[in-house]
Amino acid sequence: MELDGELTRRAARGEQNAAAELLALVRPGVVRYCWAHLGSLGRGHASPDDVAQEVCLAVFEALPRYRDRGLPFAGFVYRIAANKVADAYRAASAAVTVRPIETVPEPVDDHWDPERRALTADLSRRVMELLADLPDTHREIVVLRVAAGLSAEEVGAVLGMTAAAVRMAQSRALARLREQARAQEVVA
Amino acid sequence: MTLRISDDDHGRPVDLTTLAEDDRLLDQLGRGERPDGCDDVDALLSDWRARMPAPDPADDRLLAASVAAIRRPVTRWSRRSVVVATTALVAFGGLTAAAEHAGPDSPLWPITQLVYGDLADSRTSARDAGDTVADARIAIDSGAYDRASRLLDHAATLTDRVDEPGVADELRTRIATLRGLIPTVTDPLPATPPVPAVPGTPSATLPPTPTTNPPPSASDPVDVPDLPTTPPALLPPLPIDLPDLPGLLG
Repeated sequence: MELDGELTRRAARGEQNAAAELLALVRPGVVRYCWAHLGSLGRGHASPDDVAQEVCLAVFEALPRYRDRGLPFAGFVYRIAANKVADAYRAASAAVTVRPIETVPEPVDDHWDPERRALTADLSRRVMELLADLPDTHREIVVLRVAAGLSAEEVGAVLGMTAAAVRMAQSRALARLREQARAQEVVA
Repeated sequence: MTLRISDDDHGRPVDLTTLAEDDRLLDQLGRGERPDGCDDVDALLSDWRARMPAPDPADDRLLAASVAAIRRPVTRWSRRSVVVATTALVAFGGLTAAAEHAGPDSPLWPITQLVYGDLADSRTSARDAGDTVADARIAIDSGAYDRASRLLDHAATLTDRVDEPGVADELRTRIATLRGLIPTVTDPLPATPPVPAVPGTPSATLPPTPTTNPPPSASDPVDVPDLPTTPPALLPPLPIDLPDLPGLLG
């Protein structure tokens, strides 16, 4: 997500064109990030799309206080996103009486094909089960790299790590995932 | 290359080739590309990424809400400020004299805006110009001369809206000083790598440095504003796995 500092500055002043351009750059990755974290929860909890919208609004609300310091804008965006996702998880954890997915009514504005939604949720569940054994930081690196599509440098800005440390951690994460996959094959 | 640079979690060496290959792989996955000859894990991550939804690129409703969100804090503040300022005007007329000298950060600023509207606009422009000059200075220090130049152009435009001559002159002096720190190209030297300027020692022969961002470091974190509606940053850890949600993750 490479951004010109002037774009954020113009958007922060409320310029419509700049805001539209910034939103178009930021939103796809944020939607995928929220789907990666929340897509396996199923309906009845916070919709990943709704959380992604909240993230976008929070980013824009905070934009006038953002100052371009030559560091990736992704650090600003995905720290906000992480907080919103954490809020959604807390809300999900507080909802003790979880209904089975099948009995949760479709949201009125749900434009997603139900079959596709189910397939995506199932795939998310499998991936998150695989990632569950990773240390938290390694798991977040995989999500930010694959789902959000951030570079190692940008992930470093999000997590407060150097790009070199991110590359080391992501290699360790992949090695561990491959080892797990091999072990599951053997068991199967 | 099998240069051993560290041990992984299981005591095995991690070599630079693996680091580079994994980095390339994750770059590809992040772009939504399916890597060639991928193994089970790569394929699963690739499918996962491919199935994620893409938002409607032209969501006017969200755009309108986003633009409104930018202005919201200002609007709320302005509305409250007008009430406070009006009350102050009625109760303490003498404050208006002091408000003439207030800046955007002053408690009397709402009164300045109410009574001295043009002056307030001028001072807002002066503050924005000052911020932009400060950003330009940072850009110069990091070698991003193109960006610094654009920032200084923008600062000059803002300075033109400043009505107070002394303030405008001071801003123009700062802008001119910083322009002097930006190297100008007098002799193209394509083989010479870009060299960041040393502040205070302008060079007329250095080529401009590309406006790439410097790499981040742990000691120089991104400037993240306070988020009043969210708790402090929770990374790491992130509560990604929720094994206690019956019927969902099992």
